[in-house]
Amino acid sequence: MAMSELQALLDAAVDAIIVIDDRGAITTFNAAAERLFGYAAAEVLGKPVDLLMPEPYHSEHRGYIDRYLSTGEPRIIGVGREVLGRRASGETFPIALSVGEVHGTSCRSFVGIIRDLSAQKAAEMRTRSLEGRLAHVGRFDLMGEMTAGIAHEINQPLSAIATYAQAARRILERDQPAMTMLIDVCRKIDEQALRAGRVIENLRKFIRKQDVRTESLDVNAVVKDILNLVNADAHAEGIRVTTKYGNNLATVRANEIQLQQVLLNLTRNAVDAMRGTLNKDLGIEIETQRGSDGGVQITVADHGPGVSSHLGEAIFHPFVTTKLEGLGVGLAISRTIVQSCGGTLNYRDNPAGGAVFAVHLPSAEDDDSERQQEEAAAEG
Amino acid sequence: MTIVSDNKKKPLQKDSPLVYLVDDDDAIRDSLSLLLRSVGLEHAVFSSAAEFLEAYDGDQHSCLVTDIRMPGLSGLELQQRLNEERAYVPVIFITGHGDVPMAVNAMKSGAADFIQKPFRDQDLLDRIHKALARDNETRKWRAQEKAIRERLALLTPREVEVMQRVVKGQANKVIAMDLGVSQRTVELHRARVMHKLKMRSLADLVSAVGKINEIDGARPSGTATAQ
Repeated sequence: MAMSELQALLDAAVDAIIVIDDRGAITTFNAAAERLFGYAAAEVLGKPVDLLMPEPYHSEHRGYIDRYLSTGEPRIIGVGREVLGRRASGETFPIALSVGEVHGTSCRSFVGIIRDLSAQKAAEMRTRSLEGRLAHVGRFDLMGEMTAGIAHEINQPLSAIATYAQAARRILERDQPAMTMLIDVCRKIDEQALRAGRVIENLRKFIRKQDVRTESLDVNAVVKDILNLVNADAHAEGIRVTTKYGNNLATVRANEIQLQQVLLNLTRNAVDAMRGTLNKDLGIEIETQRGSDGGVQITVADHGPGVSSHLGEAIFHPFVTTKLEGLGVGLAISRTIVQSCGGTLNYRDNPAGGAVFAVHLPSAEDDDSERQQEEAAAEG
Repeated sequence: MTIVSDNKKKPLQKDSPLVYLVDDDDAIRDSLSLLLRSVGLEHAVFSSAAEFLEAYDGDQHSCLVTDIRMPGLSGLELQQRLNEERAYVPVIFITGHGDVPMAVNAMKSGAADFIQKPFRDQDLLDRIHKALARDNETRKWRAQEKAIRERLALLTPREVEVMQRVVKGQANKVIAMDLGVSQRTVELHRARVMHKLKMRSLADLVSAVGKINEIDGARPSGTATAQ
């Protein structure tokens, strides 16, 4: 086949085709590649192919080739995978890359066939965000339904307290206030305050009772499960989400749905906190790591305004909220759930600005060994 | 029912105001009762709509303060029942957080007012006084209505016809032409109508007959005053 004929064939291909030599220098760059990456062939021929890659591929690509050349073990060759490409404009975009080795030429070379996945990924993202929103509605219902009920139950004693107090004031304004009546009113106000307290207490009991089946959970897996939903929430607001998973974490004993609720609640709060800030690109970090006692710590950090110090621990109290439309029960319920697993949920300021919520859960393995010890002790 | 009055010696006069209070929550009922007592408003409290309906006296000058959410008959159903029985007691609904749309519907079907819990005592008291004033108007009018209807029965068919045209704003000349009588005859009919109904001015006549027409027009199987 003549050289020009080969070039015509390459240029007719819909997918971008790039050939590199064993040093990673570009030797062929077809018309589709020019369109996709925004470079003319003449600009890139002879240049290292990592030019077309964002970090971390950009710095590591040389290493990939060397490793293959020395070990002969293919990682990507013959397989193909989804990676990111970088256009001349600096914009990164998702691509499907398949790489083959070209034999029979004087030196070893590799051919990459590249398909643009931008449109496909955008569609996937839309679907995912839709799914996410649906799930979000579902999640909201669980807590929302409960809160609507509590709102009514709390409103009743509150109304009574307000009315008793107002009546008492009117009685006090009389020339000769009826003291016995006022004492009675104070007692009734007290009763109603306790009634409101019982509503909260019952709610806590309800949450503790609700679906108590616990299982050994891999925290990283739980975080990965909810990541789609978190991303859907965050990406809708243009907020980046990064994750850092700890290695060799202990399993924890909890109810999976409840733990998901807690984490979604925290990430949702983080998204709410970052909405309208200028730090959206700093994003939200979700990190799992080994706790000092062998348990697992999950932190959700944001770069929003943080929690003002005068609120302090109060943010975990029911009906304390910094949101305009919040009911202030999310953190209270979350803490109750975490505590029912023997864990803690705490707040600290993010040194980089913003809020950090840390869930700490004890290791389920300790639990098991303790139980075994107890059982052994009981037998002995 | 419990009638709470600071003046227990005298029986309640029909024309002195009474607040009917209906709420299933003991504490809300008790605290509202105390509030009304602290301002010297006579009131009767009930824990259910059924209990209230049993005791309700249509002749009593009153207004009704009721919770909107209640087991059994709800506040809205109670209002409906009162409408059906042509009991014109003004209603103030006490609503919870999520009940506002419900309350708006209630307003459309003729409720006096609604107030959301928890509320300021003065807001409720203002609404109660407004409702009682409205009830007073209604009661005055209803006494008047009874008298006017009795007098209307004394009119001849021709007088009724002339009266309805006058109320519609037709001039004597037009009425005379339409009915094929002299203008003088129309003037005579008109004078007799004013005399028999004991109306002092055309404005009084228009307002009174207008209201009665409105009531009769709204009544499905109404007995029309004229035609």
